[in-house]
Amino acid sequence: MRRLLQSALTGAAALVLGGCATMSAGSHVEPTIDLRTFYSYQWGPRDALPIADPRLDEDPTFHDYVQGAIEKQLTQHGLDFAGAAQPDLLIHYHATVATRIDVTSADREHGYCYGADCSARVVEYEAGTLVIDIVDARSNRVIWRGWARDSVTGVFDDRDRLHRKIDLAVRRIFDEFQKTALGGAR
Amino acid sequence: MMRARCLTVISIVLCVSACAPVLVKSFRHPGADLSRYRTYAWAADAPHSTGDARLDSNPFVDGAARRAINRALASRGLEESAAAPQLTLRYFISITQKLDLAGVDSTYLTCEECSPSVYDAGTMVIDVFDTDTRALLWRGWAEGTFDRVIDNQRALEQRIDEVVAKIMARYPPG
Repeated sequence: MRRLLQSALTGAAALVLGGCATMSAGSHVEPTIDLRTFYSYQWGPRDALPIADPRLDEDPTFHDYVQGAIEKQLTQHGLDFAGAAQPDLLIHYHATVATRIDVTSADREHGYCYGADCSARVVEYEAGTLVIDIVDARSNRVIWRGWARDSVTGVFDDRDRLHRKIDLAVRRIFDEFQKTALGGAR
Repeated sequence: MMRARCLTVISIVLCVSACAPVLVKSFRHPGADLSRYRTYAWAADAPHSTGDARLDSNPFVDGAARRAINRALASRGLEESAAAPQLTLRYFISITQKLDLAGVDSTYLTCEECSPSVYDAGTMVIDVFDTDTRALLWRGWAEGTFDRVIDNQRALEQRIDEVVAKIMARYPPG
């Protein structure tokens, strides 16, 4: 049976992300530098760029939680906080929220259908991206960047859910760090 | 079952990425004789938003783009010269999400066995200026998918190499 896609494209978009939208993560690395030779870190200057979401901009509890989650992973990966000493690395992160769309037919697996033929549906969602940069403190060059991206629709209304999402994102980013910067499994 | 469905959708997206053509265009300022230039330098860094936080101020992407452009210019006999550049170069990459209406009837917007998908579309622009007059002599750009490559450094660098080669193939011979 035919279905007008136009209504899906121009009508009010669903705010629920389909089943295939899972967290993605990735990283880029400077291949000529061995990150296993770095042992200590300090926080770099805080990001001046806005998150582009008024619910999180200048929210100190959000930043404290992200920073704490990153520090936990840095420790687990053998990097110590330098304190007042000269650090080997500077850590910097940036979080953004942007509206994205997805096409999904996966909701039929949960018994939901949008049309008689359960065909594809365009949905709109808020995508959050957390980027972590690791900078060589001596050269001030970024030598590793990792990120995670996932739907954050409805997440900001529930602090526990937000914290779980941050924990997972940071863990996924440091899985990438282990893989691309430290040479594989711990 | 859910996993199988996801894999199907991902396969569609990968096919779209692999099959999507790169649209390449260029513009030359009327009267510009690019064959008389022999040296160039990169414009001073001016941070710009790419539309994707993964790529903003990303030194690895910047390095890959510059290496690819440098190679293309060297093959045309142009030399990088910080001291006395006759040309000044800059490039931009911009990412936007687009909808691929694969199988949708374009006249009636009806969908019968269609497989629409979304993908990250990228536009790369390379500008060449006369250093002295600051006039834009040549602009080349390419539009194509960057979907599923940004998370993978090697795949992204290959994509950048491919896009730069296609843009610079339109640069006038020296």
